[in-house]
Amino acid sequence: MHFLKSRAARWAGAAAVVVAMAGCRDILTVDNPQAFTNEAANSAVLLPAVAAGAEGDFQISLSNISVFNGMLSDEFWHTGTWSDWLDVSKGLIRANWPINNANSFMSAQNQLLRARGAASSASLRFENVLKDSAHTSPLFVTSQMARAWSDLYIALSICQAPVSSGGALVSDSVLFKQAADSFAALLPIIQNAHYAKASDRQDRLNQANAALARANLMVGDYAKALQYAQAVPQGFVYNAQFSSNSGFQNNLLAGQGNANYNRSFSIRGLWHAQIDTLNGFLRDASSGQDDPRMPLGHDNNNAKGYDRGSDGVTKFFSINKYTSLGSPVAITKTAEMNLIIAEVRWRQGNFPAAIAAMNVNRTAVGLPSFALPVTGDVSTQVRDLLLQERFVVLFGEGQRMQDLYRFKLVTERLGAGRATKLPLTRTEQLSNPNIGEGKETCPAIS
Amino acid sequence: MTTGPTPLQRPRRSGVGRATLLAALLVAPLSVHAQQTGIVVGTVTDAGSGQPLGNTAIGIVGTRMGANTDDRGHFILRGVRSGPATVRAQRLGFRPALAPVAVPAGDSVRVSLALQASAVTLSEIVTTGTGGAVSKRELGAPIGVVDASRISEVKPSTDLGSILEGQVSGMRSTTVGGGVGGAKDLRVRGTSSFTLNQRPVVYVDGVRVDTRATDWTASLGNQACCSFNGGTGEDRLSDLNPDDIDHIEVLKGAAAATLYGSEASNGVIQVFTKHGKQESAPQWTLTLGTGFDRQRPNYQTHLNSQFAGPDGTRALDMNQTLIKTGPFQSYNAEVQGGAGKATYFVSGGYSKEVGSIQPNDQSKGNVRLNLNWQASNKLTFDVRSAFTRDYINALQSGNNWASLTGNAQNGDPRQATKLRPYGEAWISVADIERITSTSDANRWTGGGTATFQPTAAFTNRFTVGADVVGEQKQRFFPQDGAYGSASVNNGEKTNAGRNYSVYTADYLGTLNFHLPLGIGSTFSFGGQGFYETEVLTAAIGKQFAGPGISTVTAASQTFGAERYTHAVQIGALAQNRFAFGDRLFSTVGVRIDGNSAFGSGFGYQRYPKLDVAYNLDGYGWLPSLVSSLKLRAAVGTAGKAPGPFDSFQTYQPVAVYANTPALIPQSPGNLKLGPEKSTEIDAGFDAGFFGDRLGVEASVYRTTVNNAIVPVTVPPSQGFLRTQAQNIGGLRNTGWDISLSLLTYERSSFSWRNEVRMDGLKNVVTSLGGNAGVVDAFGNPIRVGYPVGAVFAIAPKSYIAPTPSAPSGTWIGTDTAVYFGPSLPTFNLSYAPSIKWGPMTLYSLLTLERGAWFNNGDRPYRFRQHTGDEFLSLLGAGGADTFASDSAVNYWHTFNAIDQRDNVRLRTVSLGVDVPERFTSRTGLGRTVVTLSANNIMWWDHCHCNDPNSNWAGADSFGNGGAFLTDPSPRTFRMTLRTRF
Repeated sequence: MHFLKSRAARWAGAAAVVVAMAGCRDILTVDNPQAFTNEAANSAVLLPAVAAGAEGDFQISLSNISVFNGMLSDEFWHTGTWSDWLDVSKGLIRANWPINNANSFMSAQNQLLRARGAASSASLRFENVLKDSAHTSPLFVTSQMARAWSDLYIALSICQAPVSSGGALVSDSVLFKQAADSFAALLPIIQNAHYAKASDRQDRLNQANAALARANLMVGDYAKALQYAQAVPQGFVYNAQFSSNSGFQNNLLAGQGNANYNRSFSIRGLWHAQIDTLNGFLRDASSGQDDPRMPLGHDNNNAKGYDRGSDGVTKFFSINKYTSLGSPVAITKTAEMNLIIAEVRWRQGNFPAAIAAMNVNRTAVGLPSFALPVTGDVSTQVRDLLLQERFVVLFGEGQRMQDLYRFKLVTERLGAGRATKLPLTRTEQLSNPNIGEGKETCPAIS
Repeated sequence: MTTGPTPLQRPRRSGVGRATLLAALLVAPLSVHAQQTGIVVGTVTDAGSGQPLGNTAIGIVGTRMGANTDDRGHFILRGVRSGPATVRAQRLGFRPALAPVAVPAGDSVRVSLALQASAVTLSEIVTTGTGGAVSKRELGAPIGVVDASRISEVKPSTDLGSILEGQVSGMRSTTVGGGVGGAKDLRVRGTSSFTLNQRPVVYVDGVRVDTRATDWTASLGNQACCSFNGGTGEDRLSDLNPDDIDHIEVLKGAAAATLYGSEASNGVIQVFTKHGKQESAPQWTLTLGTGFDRQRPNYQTHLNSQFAGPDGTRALDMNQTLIKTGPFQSYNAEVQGGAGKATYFVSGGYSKEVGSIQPNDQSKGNVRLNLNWQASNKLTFDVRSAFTRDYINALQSGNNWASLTGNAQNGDPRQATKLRPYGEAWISVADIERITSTSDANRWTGGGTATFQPTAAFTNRFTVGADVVGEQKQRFFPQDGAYGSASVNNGEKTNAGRNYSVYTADYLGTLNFHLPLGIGSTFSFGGQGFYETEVLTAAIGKQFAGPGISTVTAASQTFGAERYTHAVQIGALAQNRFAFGDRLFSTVGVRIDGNSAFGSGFGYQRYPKLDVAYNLDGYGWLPSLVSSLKLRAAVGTAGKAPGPFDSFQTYQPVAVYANTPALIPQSPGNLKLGPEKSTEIDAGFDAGFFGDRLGVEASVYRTTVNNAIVPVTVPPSQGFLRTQAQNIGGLRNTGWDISLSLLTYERSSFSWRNEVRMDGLKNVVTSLGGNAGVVDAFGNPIRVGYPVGAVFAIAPKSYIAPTPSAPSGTWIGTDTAVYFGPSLPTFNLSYAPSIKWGPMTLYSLLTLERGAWFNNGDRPYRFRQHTGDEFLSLLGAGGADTFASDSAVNYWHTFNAIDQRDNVRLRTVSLGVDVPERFTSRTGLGRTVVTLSANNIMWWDHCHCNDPNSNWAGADSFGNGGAFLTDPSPRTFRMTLRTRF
């Protein structure tokens, strides 16, 4: 090793090390070709994708939350073997619910919270990148609409939630108000946004009006609810879109409730006597006719086991409103507006107008019109018709639990001792520095 | 002090002089032949039995010359410099022996050596993580050595994991289910990370190899049904041909594995394959195996046949119908030999194993070529090349709607029909049996090592190598099957590919010199790096128009998926081993690493080490029963790099609005993310008693990780899908391990050896950086003060008597999930007696595990699905529900089953018979052994499960995944004939 003692050798060695280190600096840099960086997402090319992500993420979260919302309500019950789903189905979940596993009860609520977070961060990105032109950009409208819709669905489903990304805990009523305010603020922004097609602007206006109708109904501002509901044209529908093309886009309502897939929830047993198992529909409670809005599959051939859920025990009827993993879920539609009008009229004591509004929907699907009750407690009878129509029209769309909650019907429909809404997830509680352990005070128990 | 003119003491040379020296080095091979040489021939025998000893390493002390004995104990060494020399004979399990010889020029000399059996391993030479070859007596860090050749004789195996079972204290190797070809849990000294994989890094002849468990579910973009065959998947460790392995070295933890840097905190396993013997004629070894697999009939369907379904179909008991005898066959041929300057080892093998639960089989073919060329006394080349084809027809198992035994066990027998005779609730067994799910892997592992020793004091070793894996997977659901529970309608076909490669380059220089005061010194320095890529691709076809077609393109909906990972690491190392006389040795060293997975703001990482070994044997004050004793202590640090892209903040491209491109927040990233650093303090002793008839190796250790990567949950309301990896956690492993090897009785015709290995481990989370609600990849909570993977669950608290609305009563659970216990055993014991009586060798391996708990997911599922022997035994006449059965269902709907994994397992019983030479010599055969063996024969537990080691997620997730729709480890029965000629 004497040659290492030579000056030349030492210099050569040092040079080799320097070259190696320089080379190593590059060699330690690797690319991730399957995701974008934060900086890349600021590029003009990707901004439309950011906006699409904001709205799409919200839309896709709807099927998941609608399953849980439905199982907590009288729409669905659990027919599988997952104990946490069964606890939701039995209404056993509570504030600060102890968990065996982080995945328990959480995915649906967290997905909705994440959707709002994604929409909020998208809006911030547009403001940072587009600067002064942000608020006239349709992209900004898209992300802000998604954020406000997320607020609305969080309030419909979860009794308490952070007011914003990483924000403090607030009640559902605060979030309903926040959603109403957000949509109201969006109306002029939509009007001024630089849409290439007028129809695109009109679509957004219709969506915002429909959202305002629902949000104001929940807030209790019935005049505004009526006003915005009436502004929505007939034939309007705003769907959450799904696809069978990727797992991310799958509609969980079909994936777990339709007989073609898994069979982990089905229509709750209290409706079973009303089902026409031969033709596969829920019978209309008033007329006894099959209601085309409520297709329910039932395979009496036990060979495929479809008459029982995936637990092999519980009676199962396929939710045929959603037949494929790509079936859309209505976020809002004219039929809902008609029911909001009906509800406002009912609250105003204008029962004939309420019945008339409901009959618009029934006529459209070929069902006999409701007649105005003339004896007994007319108000309660009209309310029951309204709730029956809301059940059918909004079946599996994530609104039923809120209806039972606000009309104080949880005990009557499902019994005592049940959670009246979904709680906030432990994930958000424990990771959000503005919330923390033990701060949750709801849901109320029936 | 060395008085001769060592290279370090030579006078400074001129440039011309150096050129002359270089030229001399280059022509050295030519000049060697000009020297006067002779031949050494000899025989090595077992001093106890007098029997010849094969596979014994022979060397001439002070040179690189070497040979191995054949089965008759013969060896020959040519080209030995004439004059006095010392022959050294060494073999695992025996004390080395030296014999002085005088080598005549142009003639030969004969020498005989008798090796004394020894239960002490201090004389073994190890090379892994030591900065060059070194005797264990000089090491302060714990290294386990497995004599794979010996294990293969008493326990014929088809995979590496089986060889390692119960062989090294502190190392756990056990099958976790999934049928033939399924994954194993392989780990050393417990768990040293919250989130990163727990497998030791594995090298084969200095080349890093693939041991990954592939996450196919996520890699398929969640577009195809579940994972291919449940969570267990295939285990690439099983690709290696066990018959090719000579021995295995195991670095137990950070203190021993420091020189491996940012990949070594889980320990390092280095496999050394066989090589040819110098100066020997071609020696063939032929190994033929046959036998069968047959599962233990302990599935929970024994009562099924007492029930009939609505159409009158009598329910089936899967113990009677699905457990079959799966045939096994194996063929392996190897030839090795060598001439004066070169040796070769060539092998080829084929095995086919059919599982007991079918369809499930594995076919494996291996070929290997190992060459050694001693270009000169100073320069040696080793070249190794191995190719494997491993085809697995996988069992549908493990947390999988299409699990075969899962459906058979979870069906309500009262719902049995002609088409669903087990009352299958999800998918009929008949339809599952029509699913094909295969893995076809082609793998090449090879490399070369050049060893240049310009002087006796200076050795350079340069190794390059690669492990390249190409795996094709296919799964096919026929169009006319009812697979709705698995979200498959009208059939589905998935073709997937995995291309994995890792390239290793390693340089190590070792310089021996003397310091003042007679201190010996060995300085090692070098660099090591690897370059690893993995690409997973998948093509998925859904919905066939009708039966009879099976290609992806033929489906009406087609999808694709791709996943890519890339990691690069480079490191430099330096260490010095000091020898203070012949008793006291100490090593100091450091490794410095950079890794592409570190955050861009992190930089390089340093890992220091220090160890001390003090040999006390020979001191007069030692009791006479102590024949050898080494005290040792080591402290060292090793790391574990984070996931390849964990430091990146990313936005995930997805499709929304039914196929419009979109971006959503994915990972918050962390630019300061670095490796986890484990610092281990290990102290212990290696001792021999009663003339080294009893060997004891004992260690106590404490491993601390102060910057463990905590998956910090970002509030969902902030939008990110994934957690943020932060180096803010802490955990500690405190444990001990001990190996006892006792040569109980040694005579020429009878010997009895006993091997006992035990270890105890306590793992505890010391910090989560102030974060609450941290969970592992499986959603299990991680809490300070409890072990990683601790089993928490809601436990029963009270019971409310039945009411009309709750006729089975109401169970109330605890307010929070309570702690049951750790998920890994806290105590392991293995006992392996070996009795040799004349030509017969009886060997067995018994293991005991205690302390582990698990979520026994199958048990409550069976109640929820109104099935299983436990539930069915509660039913009334005619299969009517009873209060007891309803109450049990009610209970198990409320609670998970948390059971203990404690078990005693009879892993192996084998009987080997040496066929007498009078029979073999007639056919020209050499040593011939027939071995009858049975593996995983029986286990005793109280887990209410099929197998207490079951883990649906397979591989290194044992501590996290519970038992769910898994299958017991295969139970195998083998007969093997091994002969040499």
